[in-house]
Amino acid sequence: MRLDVQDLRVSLSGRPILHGISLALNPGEVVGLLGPNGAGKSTLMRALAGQVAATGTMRLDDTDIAALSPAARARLIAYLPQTRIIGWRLSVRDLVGLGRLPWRGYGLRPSAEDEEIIASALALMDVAYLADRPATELSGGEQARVLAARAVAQATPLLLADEPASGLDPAHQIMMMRALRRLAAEGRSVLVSLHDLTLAARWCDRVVMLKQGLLAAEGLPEAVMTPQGLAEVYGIAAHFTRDEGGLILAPTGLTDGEAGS
Amino acid sequence: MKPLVLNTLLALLALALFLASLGVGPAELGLSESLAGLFAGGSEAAEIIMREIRLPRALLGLAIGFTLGISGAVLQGFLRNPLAEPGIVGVSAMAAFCAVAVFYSGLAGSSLYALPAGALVGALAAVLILMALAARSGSTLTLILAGVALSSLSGALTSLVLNLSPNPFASYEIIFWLLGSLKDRSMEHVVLALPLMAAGWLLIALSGRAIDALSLGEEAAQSLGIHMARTRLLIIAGVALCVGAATAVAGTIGFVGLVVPHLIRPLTNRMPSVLLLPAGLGGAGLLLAADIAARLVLPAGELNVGVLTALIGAPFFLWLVVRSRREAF
Repeated sequence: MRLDVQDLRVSLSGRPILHGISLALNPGEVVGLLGPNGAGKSTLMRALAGQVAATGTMRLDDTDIAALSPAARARLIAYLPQTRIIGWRLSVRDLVGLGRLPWRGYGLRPSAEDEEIIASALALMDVAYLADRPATELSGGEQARVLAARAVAQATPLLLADEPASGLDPAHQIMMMRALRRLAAEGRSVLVSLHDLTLAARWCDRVVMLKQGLLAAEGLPEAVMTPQGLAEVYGIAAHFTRDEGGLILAPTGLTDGEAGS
Repeated sequence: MKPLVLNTLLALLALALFLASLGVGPAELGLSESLAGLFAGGSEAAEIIMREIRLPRALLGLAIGFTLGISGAVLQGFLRNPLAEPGIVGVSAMAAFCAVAVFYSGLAGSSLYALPAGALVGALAAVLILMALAARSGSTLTLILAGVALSSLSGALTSLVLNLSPNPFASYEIIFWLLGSLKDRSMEHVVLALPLMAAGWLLIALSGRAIDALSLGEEAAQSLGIHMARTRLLIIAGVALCVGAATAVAGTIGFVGLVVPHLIRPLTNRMPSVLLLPAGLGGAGLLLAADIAARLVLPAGELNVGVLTALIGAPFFLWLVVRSRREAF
């Protein structure tokens, strides 16, 4: 399904956070959401997930997202929050199984189809070997992947992932991005916020850069993640190289001339 | 353990303790005499003892124990906090204070329903205050501090009423609510409290899906389709109804709602909704056992069952606090 957002505005406790954001996501696309801390990335995701009041239009094909009931929304949009919370000593399988709640009648056991989707989500996030372990006893990186598998198991056309790669080791960061790409290849749309510029440049079809609640730039990574673009949005200088997989960006200093190449 | 097996075992345990509770009392009735008194045909004395003294007592033990267990389990699930319990977080104390206030003001004389209504209002106010203070942050510290504040305030206000109470008889009645007891309850109390408690259980059962999703925090739960405002309302109303009704007829009985979910959680897959029914059944078993013990330990004077549960529960609470600093539940 195609996500179409027009002039999205959000205020929290009277303070405007997003000042009219417009963007679109096509099925099969992984779009990176970039911007410094406090730029409004998480707020944008929470607005799309229906968790903060927003004005403007948000549509998935012809469906008005704002008009959906929470239950109906949960079948269309999965949201992986940045804060990673695991309340009880649930097994990894049971935790990921919570992703099937929107599809299941109350009190009913997971169906064979549920089990299959849970198993493939576990495999996609490389946590199948942990399935019977208590999720609270895993490392931070393992927990991050287990929680991501929960959002994947929700099997929604749109996935919003708020910094799913933060705190992961390099191998699992790449694995996480590859997993998101696979979901996109199945026809889902993925909006993922990232702080790692190289990950964004190499794994996202497009990037959207926010700054102070405004859309600063939007387009192909090569087109947007330029020295000028990064200076303007992040206030950083970076070292740029490139190989067959795309851009490689290493921040080298701040643009006010402190350091850098 | 499979939920069905666990629930069956706990139900059998509660049933056994229910029957045992019917068999305990100062009047030394044999088994056959008791049964005859309960159903039909026994001597008039046995009939009165069984039907009007022991049966209501055992029924209330069963229902109030179930209430405390299921309320503890749902509050723990909702607040994602293993230390939540109607007693510790001040719900019972607030309900008791309001019941005492109604009693003292003389309103209790005006209607049979005034006193339970007071307890319900107290329980409702306490749950609302707790949710406002502690649900958002999800922090153990906030919850416990809010609970301590509520309990102390209610305790102080109850003491004030006790202080001002005009005669020893009134003081005795007030102390009953403070200590919690199932003695001298009649079938009227059962008829009054049971429907309210059952309504509360039903509301709590409806929140099962939501408390499962809330294991992952409020944001993730919302993204799983949980309507937070509705869930909060369900749980506030459910806990206030059943704990309010329980407190109205038996005073404050603490710690059952804390101890039972903890003992039973490791026997389940730890999914909050799966814990609800076993926690209720286990609570019924524990309160019935405590009430039997209260009658056997001091046959002449008779211990208040609330005192007994606190004597067992408070050290357990302390141990939990120490342990919760080290590991997750």
